[in-house]
Amino acid sequence: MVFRKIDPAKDIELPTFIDVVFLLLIFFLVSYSPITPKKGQEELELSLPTAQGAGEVNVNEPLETMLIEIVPLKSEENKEDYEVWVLLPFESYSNSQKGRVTYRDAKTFSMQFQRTAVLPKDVAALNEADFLRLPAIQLMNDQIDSYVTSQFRIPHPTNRIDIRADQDVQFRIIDFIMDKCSSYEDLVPSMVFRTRFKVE
Amino acid sequence: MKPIKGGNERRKLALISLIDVVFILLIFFLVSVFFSSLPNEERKLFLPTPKNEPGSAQVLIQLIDDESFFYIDPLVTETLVNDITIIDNRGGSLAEKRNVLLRRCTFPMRDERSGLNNLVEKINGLIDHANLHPEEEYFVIIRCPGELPYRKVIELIQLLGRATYKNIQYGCVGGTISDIRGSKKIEKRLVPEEGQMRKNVIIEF
Repeated sequence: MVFRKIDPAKDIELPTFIDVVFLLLIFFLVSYSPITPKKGQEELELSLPTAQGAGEVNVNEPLETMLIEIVPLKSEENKEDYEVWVLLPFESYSNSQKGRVTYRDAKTFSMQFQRTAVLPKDVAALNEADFLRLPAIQLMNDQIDSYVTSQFRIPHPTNRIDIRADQDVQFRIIDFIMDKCSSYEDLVPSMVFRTRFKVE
Repeated sequence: MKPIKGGNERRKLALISLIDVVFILLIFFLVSVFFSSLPNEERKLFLPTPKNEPGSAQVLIQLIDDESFFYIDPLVTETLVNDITIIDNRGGSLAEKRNVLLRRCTFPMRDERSGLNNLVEKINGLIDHANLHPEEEYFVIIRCPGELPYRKVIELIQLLGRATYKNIQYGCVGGTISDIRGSKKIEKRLVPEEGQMRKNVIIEF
């Protein structure tokens, strides 16, 4: 009778093989950094707000200070533009409510009191006068003036203005805000950039 | 019929492997759930507001574009001081000093041979130095042109924030390489620093 010859070298057990494959998979998954660089960016660990950034913000977070938000416009017509929101931690500049207004409420108030304006994406080519005439720049200018003069009466390390901006916002806009804050010298000693990170 | 003994052994072995695979799968899913449930945490990066007055710094970083940057650190400063001394001694012009300054301090963003980011490497070198000398304080000025995305600055700030002893302070202002190209004055000067007089380069825009 003819029997089939079993070659022990060829007889690889499937479960053992799958076992090894899964072990390798887990090894690579665990050894790989969970924060992946975006397309076109190398060695990036930082993830700033993206086009959908506003949707991922904790809307129930109470605001501590004025927050200037610069996010891409969601309108279909002006996809290339940004919208600027000036969010205040209280309404009617009442100190009693300080810290109680959440991001969601502040956004509602900003819409209600029209503290929002459209900002062109490319402002680098504008001359200084045209740049300063932009409604969004005027809005930020007026609101910073109003907030600083009413809230920051004495220099204090905690006096600050928060900025949450899309990562592609041109530096000229940030520079304008910084210049504005520095015009008050020690009244606004610092600014805070709110950037989104994944916990390492 | 009598069962084959060898076949039983093989079946038992497969069951053990199967349980093993099931456990591996369990670990895999547990790890996956752990990573996927990590919340996106918003981090706050503090940046001091600039003062409207001339300032001094040990390190000046001028971002130019995606391809190049301008960088002065204490090491380059020493070379620059020597160059400026030579130019001054032979009555050289401001244009010569500008050329030397730009030639010595402008670097490509990416190293052609290694492919590494030169600016990141330089900052890493600065951080290493700051970590070795915790008693020394460093101040870094980052100048950024208006057309660049502000994330370039944030990335640098994030890097500088890695210094173990937090002895690297930083500030950020708007400015272009044209300001340096058109500088009104470039000269060497003795500047008091940490109780010592050090030679420094003054660039007046």
